[in-house]
Amino acid sequence: MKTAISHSTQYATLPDASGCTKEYSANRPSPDLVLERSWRGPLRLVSSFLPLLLLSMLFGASSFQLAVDAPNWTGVPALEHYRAFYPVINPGTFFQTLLPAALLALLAALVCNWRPIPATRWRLAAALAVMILVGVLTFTFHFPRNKILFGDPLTRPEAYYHQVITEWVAGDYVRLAMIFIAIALVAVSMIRIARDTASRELSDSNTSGVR
Amino acid sequence: MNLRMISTAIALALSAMLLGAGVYESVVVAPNLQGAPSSLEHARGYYHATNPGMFFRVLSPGTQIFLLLALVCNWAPIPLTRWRLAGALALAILGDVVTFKFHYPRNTILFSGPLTLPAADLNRVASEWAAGNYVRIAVILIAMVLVMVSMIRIARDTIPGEHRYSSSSSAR
Repeated sequence: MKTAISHSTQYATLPDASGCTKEYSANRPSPDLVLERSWRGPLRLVSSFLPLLLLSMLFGASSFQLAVDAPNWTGVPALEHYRAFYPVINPGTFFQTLLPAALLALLAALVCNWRPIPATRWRLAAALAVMILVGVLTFTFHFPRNKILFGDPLTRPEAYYHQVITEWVAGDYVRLAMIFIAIALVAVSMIRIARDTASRELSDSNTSGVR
Repeated sequence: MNLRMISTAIALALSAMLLGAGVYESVVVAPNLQGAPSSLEHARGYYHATNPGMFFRVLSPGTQIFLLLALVCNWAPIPLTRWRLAGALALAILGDVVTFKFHYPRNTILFSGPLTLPAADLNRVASEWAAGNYVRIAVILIAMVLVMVSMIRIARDTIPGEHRYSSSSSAR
């Protein structure tokens, strides 16, 4: 009903010039609102793009680890080479920076897109929840195995390390799948936000056209 | 979702994966190459089953194929998007040119040739390799941003229903 009234006042032929000015002012978005709209759309888009970038980077780096690092953990001598090759920085340093950054970016995207579209809000919230689960999986499943493979003395039998490596790789596939789901959720959200902000820009430009 | 969107989304995901793996190499692998020759001996001993080259030789052509597919699927509707995707493809190819011309000779010295050079020379080659990798990352990042902007534009152009950002015909 509100919309109908608004449209009728916008397009109505008004009785006199003073009345026209009055009605026109009533329907025109305030400068503050226009300014707010001008930055809100890009902010919503950028806030959804940043987690997509970080999550994809995380996915790429995890795939690299799974495809390049894991097949080389073939036994105790290989693990010794691995330990000796990473004296300065190890993969943990990289992931311990990138994962929190991705979580923060997801949280920012969720905050920036909380109100406009409920479906997008829940998709971003689900992506954040999935990535928190990735963190939980890393801490509870991978960290103990990392300690066995890369920290503790290599005194156990070869078969034991083989078993731990197999478990580590299986857990990493689960982690990759979860990151992939988060990427898909954020990508769909970004498309939805791009379309929504376009519609708003279009409706804003239509509004300005009838001014 | 249509072919225009899907091909661009896959190209975006693959280029972001390439970026992630590239950054991982710069942050994790490159600093550990310093301290030759022992660091390089450990690297050779460690990368005995697979090596990073095997990963990039699959991911990089895959990215280029999907960029080409995205370019073909989005050739006609929006000229600006066409040139952005073409730019991204050109940059992805440039990244491979950098790899072949700059990194491959250094890979040979670091990972397969006899370690007979002085330690200082080997460390210098490792530093050059790391510097070249930053260039490669910058090239991929620009390509990725171009694909991302294209995807936003395509998403707006393919809005279902009556509210289109701009019709394809008017954007020509």
